[in-house]
Amino acid sequence: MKAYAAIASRQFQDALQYRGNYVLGMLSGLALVLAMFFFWRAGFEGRASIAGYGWAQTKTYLLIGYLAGNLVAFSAEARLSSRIRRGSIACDLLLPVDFQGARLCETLGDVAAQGLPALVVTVAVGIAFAGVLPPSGPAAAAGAAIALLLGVVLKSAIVYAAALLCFWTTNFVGISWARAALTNLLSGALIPLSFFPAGVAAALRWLPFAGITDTPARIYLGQLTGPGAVGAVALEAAWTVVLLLVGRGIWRAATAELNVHGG
Amino acid sequence: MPAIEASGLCKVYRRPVRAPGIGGALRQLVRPRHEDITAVDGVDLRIEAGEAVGYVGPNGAGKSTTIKLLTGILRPSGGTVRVLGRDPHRERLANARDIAATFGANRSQLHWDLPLRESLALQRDIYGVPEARYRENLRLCADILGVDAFLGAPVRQLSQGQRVRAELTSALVHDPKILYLDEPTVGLDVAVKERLRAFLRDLHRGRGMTIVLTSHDLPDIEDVCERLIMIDRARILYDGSLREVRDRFARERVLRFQVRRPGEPAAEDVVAGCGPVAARWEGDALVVSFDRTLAAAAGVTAQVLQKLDVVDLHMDEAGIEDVVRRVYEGRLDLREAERP
Ligand SMILES: Nc1ncnc2c1ncn2[C@@H]1O[C@H](COP(=O)(O)OP(=O)(O)O)[C@@H](O)[C@H]1O
Ligand SMILES: [Mg+2]
Repeated sequence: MKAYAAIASRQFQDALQYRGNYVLGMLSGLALVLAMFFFWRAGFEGRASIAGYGWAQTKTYLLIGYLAGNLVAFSAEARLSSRIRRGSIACDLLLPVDFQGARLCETLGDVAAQGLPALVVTVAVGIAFAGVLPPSGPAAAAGAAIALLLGVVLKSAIVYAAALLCFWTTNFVGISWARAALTNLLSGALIPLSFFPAGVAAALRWLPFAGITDTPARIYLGQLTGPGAVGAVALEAAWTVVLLLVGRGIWRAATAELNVHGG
Repeated sequence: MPAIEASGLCKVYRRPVRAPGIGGALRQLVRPRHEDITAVDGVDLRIEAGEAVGYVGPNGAGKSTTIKLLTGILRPSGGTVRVLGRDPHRERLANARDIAATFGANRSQLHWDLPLRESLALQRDIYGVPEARYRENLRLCADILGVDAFLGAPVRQLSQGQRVRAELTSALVHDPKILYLDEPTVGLDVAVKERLRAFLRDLHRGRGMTIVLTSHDLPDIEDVCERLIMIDRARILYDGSLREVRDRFARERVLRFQVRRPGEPAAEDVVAGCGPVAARWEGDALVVSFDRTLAAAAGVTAQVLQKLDVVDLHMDEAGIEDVVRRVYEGRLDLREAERP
């Protein structure tokens, strides 16, 4: 256990050192958020709400979605795939730690140093200056925090499983794009899930991706409370476990016939 | 229980074969084709605790693959391996506590951007090495390898030689019982090579560490190992004592006498009576070669000096290098030669 704590804390210190890079990455992503804001504001022209969401709620939902998506930085994915492609994974396998566990600890170190502070600061600034809504209550704030953290593990599990495909293909960029497009669309980061037709929205909420954005955002806004919120978080937890296991399965298949790249 | 035991060990890599161009890429997508590359083919090994073994072979012979199989990084396609009684791939985590390996400078356990000291500390924490023990190990590496001079530098700023020393230090943090080194001296200058070899000798003789070392630089192996394993094209060609190979097959000595008036008398006449030696004229030099166990350099030299006006004298001794070259060129079969 101490080994994993050491890995997480090492990554935490690393990430602190590279906070500048992270902020730069966030700022460039901000262009996308602004584009989305203007797009949806045009959508709200002349009407008070879409699918029960006012403009302030939509804004809040999208901001949380954007930040939640950024909690697990792109660097986690790039780091893992480059290890596989360059073959330095051979050295990781010399360490007496579970590979998936170690990667998850690295992600948590990153999140604690970069993603979480960025999220708290951005939401606070948004509430103070940009008409973003505060959490609907203390219970909603706590629930959203739990759902967000669980979402971090969930997204890490997805990223991990996707990046392992680099064992079979050298096209990391393709995998990464497909993974990101799928996660963004199906989690609600681009379009709040409630804006989809009711049946589609309900179906999407059974998928794992909703746990990354939609569940924490709706708990935060107070749209998901009590048993509904508990159920959504439980589903999110179940998906997290399933995807972690899927990652282990892919790992086993990969290392069974694995050719560690290079000589 | 031997430290390492392998029987019938095999590793077959599958590599996609793709015709060039977009057409090839598409075809590969529809109907993937693979070729099988047998990198290790039926290798049997038995290495006792405390042995130092040199694993030699030309590029692509299967040295690195063998090391990866022994360390548990790769799963064998056939055969079995036991390392300290465990299956190194299935019981990778337990095995990892007892072994260490280095794979040259571009496969690193060290964090590129961190000062070396911090990478080493991470290694200490991952293995849970007590602080006192950690310092002691670090001191040893500082004394002999001189790593203390660059503990504060980020790994990316280290020279090749410094990086190899850093890797080795990192590998030794947790007191491994078995140390695998894949081409540890590639790209190092002579002084660093010497240092590294002295250090390995010390680990092996002083601490009784089991060492498996691959190299195509034979002096590495002559300096550190007592046992030599030669492989070529995935198979073992020779496995036995290094000294025996040298004594039995590296006996040739060549004396080269540069003279003032070359060409006469006939070469055979100069060395007549010296025993089983061969002589010939080569430019302005008389070249005499013989088996060092059958003739003495002193006697040959005395006679030649008497008969010729010698300006200069030079002696070459066949090393293990020549033997290995002869084996790979197919001019010497050690197993054939061993049979009486
Ligand atoms: N990841 C891999 N995928 C496919 N073939 C490989 C891979 N690694 C090594 N090989 C092939 O296996 C053979 C043995 O390689 P290797 O063990 O690296 O030899 P050595 O270390 O003796 O140079 C070579 O033919 C090499 O091309
Ligand atoms: Mg090699």
